[in-house]
Amino acid sequence: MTEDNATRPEWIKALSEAFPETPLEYDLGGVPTLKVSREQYVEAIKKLRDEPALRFQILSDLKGVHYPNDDEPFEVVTHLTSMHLAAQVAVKVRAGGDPPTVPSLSAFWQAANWHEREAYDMVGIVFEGHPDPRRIFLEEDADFHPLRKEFPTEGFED
Amino acid sequence: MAAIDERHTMTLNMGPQHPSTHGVLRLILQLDGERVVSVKPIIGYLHRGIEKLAEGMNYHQVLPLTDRLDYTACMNCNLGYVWAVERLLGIEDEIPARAKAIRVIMAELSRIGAHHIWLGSHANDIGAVTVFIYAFRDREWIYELFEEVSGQRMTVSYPRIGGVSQDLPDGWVEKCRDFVKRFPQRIDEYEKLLTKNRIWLKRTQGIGTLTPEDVFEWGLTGPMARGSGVEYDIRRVLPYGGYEEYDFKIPLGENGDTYDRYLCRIEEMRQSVRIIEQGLDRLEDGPIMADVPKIAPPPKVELGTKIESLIHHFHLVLEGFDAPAGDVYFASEAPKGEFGVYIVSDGGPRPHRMGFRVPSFANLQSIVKMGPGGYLADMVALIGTIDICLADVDK
Amino acid sequence: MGIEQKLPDGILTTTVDKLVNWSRTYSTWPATMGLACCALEMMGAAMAHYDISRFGMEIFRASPRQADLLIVAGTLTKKMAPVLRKIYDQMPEPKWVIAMGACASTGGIFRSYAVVQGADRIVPVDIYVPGCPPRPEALLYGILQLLEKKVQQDSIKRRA
Repeated sequence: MTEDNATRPEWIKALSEAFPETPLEYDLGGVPTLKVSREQYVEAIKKLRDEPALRFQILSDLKGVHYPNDDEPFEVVTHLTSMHLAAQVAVKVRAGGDPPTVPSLSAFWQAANWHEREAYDMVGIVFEGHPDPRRIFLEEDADFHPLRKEFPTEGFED
Repeated sequence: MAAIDERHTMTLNMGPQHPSTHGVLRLILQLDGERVVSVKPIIGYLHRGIEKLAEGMNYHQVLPLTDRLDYTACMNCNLGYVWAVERLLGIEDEIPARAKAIRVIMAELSRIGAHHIWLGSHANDIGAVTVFIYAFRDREWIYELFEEVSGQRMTVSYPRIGGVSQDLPDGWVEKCRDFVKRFPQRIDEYEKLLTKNRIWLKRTQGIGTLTPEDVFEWGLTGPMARGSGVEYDIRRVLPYGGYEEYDFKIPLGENGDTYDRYLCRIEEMRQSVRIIEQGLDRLEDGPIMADVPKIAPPPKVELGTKIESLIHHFHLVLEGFDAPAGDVYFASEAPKGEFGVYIVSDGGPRPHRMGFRVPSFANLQSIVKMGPGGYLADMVALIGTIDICLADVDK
Repeated sequence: MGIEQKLPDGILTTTVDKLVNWSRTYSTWPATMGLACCALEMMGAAMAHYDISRFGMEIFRASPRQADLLIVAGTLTKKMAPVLRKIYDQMPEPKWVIAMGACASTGGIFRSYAVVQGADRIVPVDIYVPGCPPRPEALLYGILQLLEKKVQQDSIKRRA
């Protein structure tokens, strides 16, 4: 759902100004979504969190998603919430390389620590710069990533 | 702080089978005498693969799985999921007023129930066993209300996408009004036992202090955030489900320690009673399910009389409805914090990705910050104050 | 362990047997193995409303060394399975196991990569209590069935 310039709230204008090259899309709930490149990712999150007009200080969620039919099949979605603006924003970045890699937010934001470990454990996305890149739910020596689409729900052993 | 000297510290394993870890949590503690030097939590002992299971089910079938996420507040998890799917489908405005009011009442009853479990187990671990027994006695009251309306005490699966599954039975509203009238005296009983109790004060004041900066740094939500003075309650900040029409206070703490979080949750129970009272006043006669036959299951009485209802029922049971392609993130205020549901839909009847943002998972990280420097006995108070539910942590 | 090993072979006991059975049955001490949602109904069974202590089970022992009943209440995951076996092995004989709930009986609604499809794949189970979660009364019924089983067995003749 998109809105035209005249009715957009001020902060969305501030958001577009803060990220001029990144087109703003909206998800089905009306939450603005920024699709950034891996190089812009850390700067974008820092800007959203620290800019006084924005202050998206609450890291609501960080998830990894596997789109097997896409060229870059692994995506990391981060949702941030700002109490100050009473609003949410989503930041999406695709992981590249093999194994699929994305810069880590945990180096400067502890809130992302366990979320990124979960995304690694479940989907297999490697977070570069993570201080503690271990699996979190499955055993350390597990060799599969269950939320990948090719992995069956029942697993392999019984 | 000096680096950990391995020769002088003892490694103690706490859990996963332990009476005070509230489930299967494992903590590896480095102790210097009785002082905790470092805490390393190991979770995953209750990881059941709920997110993966949800990818193979259609949207109606995922509902019972959400009960098993935070099982102390099953109704809140059900509602958080159902609200998220309704946002995905764009039918939020079609939910009838009666269903909205019933949902708010149920959400707040469930919140009180979850806080009972928190109060009981937190107090029990610190030593106040009586409060544990009192809390469960009162939780039985809520269980009776839930059982009358849904047939199940705990894992209710009562809401449906588009409304609620059954209307309130006769006499339920009177019983709920009785609860609203008599329950605040029970909260007074708990407060009489604990709030000014010297032992309680000594065991909770100054323990696990978190500043507002810590709250943002560690991504804490719910009473963990409000105990430190951060006024983040999603029912106020991003209202949903009709909460904008209800009048309630948001209790905030000042010092951010365990005692303040205790006071916040007790006051939240009182505020929930206020919301239930307002919800009962708002209950008007009307339908309990939105009129979207392709999505919301038709009432069972129509299945024998109307052919369209029967066809819709068949379609919904065998295949499910097709959701629009796209994604949505919906956050609701569960008793433990922000319960978020991230749904990615590819246009078919099953979700491409069903992500649950569970509050205990994010809140439990902070034990790494709060544990070191305190005593071993304080670890138990910290686990209680974070209010974890391991199924909520491990999904 | 227990009285069986103290008696030499060839001695037949009847009244002593009954006494031993009676004392073992009516003071069973469960070990806490509350894994998931069923743990809340187990706690509910132990609380004032349903009161498990009228059957002698007042105390849920945290240490398996002091317990003789293991109530597996909740989903058993593959990561937790070795821990369950360890706790079971640490319990002294004679010991019994109740699988409480659908997940402990057969894996429940979780047919996934991480869940053991029934606690009986890890430990021998005496009583299965179905339900998701079973009501406290259902658990009490299961426990009473177990007590009936215990009171009838020939513990000394059996030679554990």
